[in-house]
Amino acid sequence: MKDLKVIHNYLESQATACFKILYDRYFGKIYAKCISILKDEVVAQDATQEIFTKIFLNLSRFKEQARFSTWVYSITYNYCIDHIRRKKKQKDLFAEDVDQLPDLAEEEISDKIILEIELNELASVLEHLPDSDRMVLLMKYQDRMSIKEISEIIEKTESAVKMKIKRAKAKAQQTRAALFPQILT
Amino acid sequence: MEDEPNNFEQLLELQSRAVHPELQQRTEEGLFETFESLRLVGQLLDIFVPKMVNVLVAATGGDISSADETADAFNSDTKTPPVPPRPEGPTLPDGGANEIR
Repeated sequence: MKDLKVIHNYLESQATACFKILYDRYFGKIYAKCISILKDEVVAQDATQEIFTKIFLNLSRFKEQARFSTWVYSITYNYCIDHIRRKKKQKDLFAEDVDQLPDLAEEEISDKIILEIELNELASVLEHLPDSDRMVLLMKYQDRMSIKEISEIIEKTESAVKMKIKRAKAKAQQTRAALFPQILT
Repeated sequence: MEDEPNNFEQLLELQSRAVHPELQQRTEEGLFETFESLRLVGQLLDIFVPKMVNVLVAATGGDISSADETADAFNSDTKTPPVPPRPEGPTLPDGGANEIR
């Protein structure tokens, strides 16, 4: 049964079974995202529970303009960004280099290079990237969010998001070279 | 982008399948406990809001019986408008009008 059908059934009947279908479908992915971003099992478990509470309480507000998964993941990112902001006492998590002028000499790493990284390498590379770089790469490549959708989540302009992604890809490639030097020689 | 899952999506799939079922079960229990608590809070509000309306009405010198009607209308599922208070003022004592004359 497709997500939208389950949501409609849930909103009509308020049946717990319908919510359970969505829970089973998304639990693993939300938890895996939380672990990947927050890097703490206990915090990720609490985060997953709170994210599902938000989903449950706001399900009637879901507008079908975006995919349900995109809506669910945007709640997940917003929660994780807020958590990191509070923990690091850093108001703007994405400020560090988004607002800097672009480096014209910076070479653009193609999507093909990023999408050809082996799974074990990719897991290590993502683990070593700063939070903000990891998140924009996940939003773009894992969740296939549009630049507009990413800009709404991280509260930056679309051109700033493009610059952030470009730099995150460059950092990913540098990190990969540092972690797996034999592959790039 | 093509429909086939890319390396990022494959990684997420792999990581989500590695989650221990017991963890999923435990989180589910916590989640449904939260839902139960929220439901309980909702029910308590349903009970206490009309009572609070009565207290406020009484404190401001109003008529509690009409406040009850207002509160009942607030709680009713039929969404019928509350019965308005009587438009006329206080009644005169028996023969009061003649006595005044």
